[in-house]
Amino acid sequence: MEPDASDVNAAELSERFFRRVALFAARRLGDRSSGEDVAQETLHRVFSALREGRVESLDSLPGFVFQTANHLCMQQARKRGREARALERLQRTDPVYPPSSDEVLISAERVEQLHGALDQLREADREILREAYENWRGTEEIASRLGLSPEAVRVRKHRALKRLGDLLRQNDACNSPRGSGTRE
Amino acid sequence: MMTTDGPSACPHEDRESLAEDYLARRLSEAQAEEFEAHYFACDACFEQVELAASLYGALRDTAQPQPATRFSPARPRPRVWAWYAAAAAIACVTLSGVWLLRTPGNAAGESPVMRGDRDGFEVTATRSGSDLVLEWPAVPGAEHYDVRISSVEGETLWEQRTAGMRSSVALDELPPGGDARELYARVEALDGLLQPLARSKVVAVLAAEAKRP
Repeated sequence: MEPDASDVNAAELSERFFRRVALFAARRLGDRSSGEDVAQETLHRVFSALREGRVESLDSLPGFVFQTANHLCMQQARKRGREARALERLQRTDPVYPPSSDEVLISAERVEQLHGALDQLREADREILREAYENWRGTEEIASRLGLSPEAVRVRKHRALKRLGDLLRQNDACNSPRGSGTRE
Repeated sequence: MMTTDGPSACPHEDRESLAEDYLARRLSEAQAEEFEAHYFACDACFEQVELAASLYGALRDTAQPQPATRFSPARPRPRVWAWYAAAAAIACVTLSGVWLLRTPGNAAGESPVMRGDRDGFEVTATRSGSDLVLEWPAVPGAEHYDVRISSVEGETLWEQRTAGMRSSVALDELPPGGDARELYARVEALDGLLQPLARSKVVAVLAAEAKRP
């Protein structure tokens, strides 16, 4: 029998969606704590909707969460009003920067884990990741700088990210008290 | 239990580039929103977004001026010489056997990651007589600071470059109609070559007005 949306409990909901909403909202609002506030409020509203039977099915749950988070972000942006608009205008005239840590929601623990994993990669893998994530270059630009085809850059980056992801999972498994793959 | 979309259900083969482009704001608003709605349902794509976000954050946040820093300071499109300098620094660090050194402060504190991120430093605005005084903390590596006061419409009303961490302007020097309650200030830290190192948060001069006796 197909599980019912109203069977979803708060812990499952939070595990599946909290980081998605927090990252999404932090990127939208440019502010980590606002992102987390929106995530809390979103999950609270979604959970209430589930209890009241307002979510038709599990398939429609991600869309419902997204719409709720999107709505709350727009509300937040409106509340910030004039100051937010002034900020946007100032930002538009400034040079473009890579996403700040306020927008990407990364913990100090995760930074440590990443550096541990990066240190274990081959230099060629580190180079391609530095180009993409430290120097903030797109595939075409990296290809031009390294004298490779864009497809070769995509493949190298894909492999480097896969190796990095594998290392992170291995390290997570080693460091987790129960040997599970929890991240943070 | 909630079901998840596996990679087989996802149409995005190059999700790494998509996640990067999304976070780096290289997608249009419509493309970004479409991808957002998608990764709420797709675990494979969200995993990639998280990994890319972590990498952006981690590599940016280690951009410290200390000798043990392994990556060059975060700034847009570093010049080639800066990259080679950073590479040389990395090689030195490796050879001296301290490759694995970490900034000790990263392990504790209220928001430890933010300590490594020089962007978003605070500027305080206070009123001293008829002057507006802006003050901010020193940014490591900064030799100059560009101070800008703008109207709510984003028009620059006053600018100053200074080597110190304080700037003041007589409010009556600002263009006519510059109601102090509608002004915003921002400071940008620059290195010796006038390359941007970090930007402050925008401060509303309204805060300064509130402290007025």
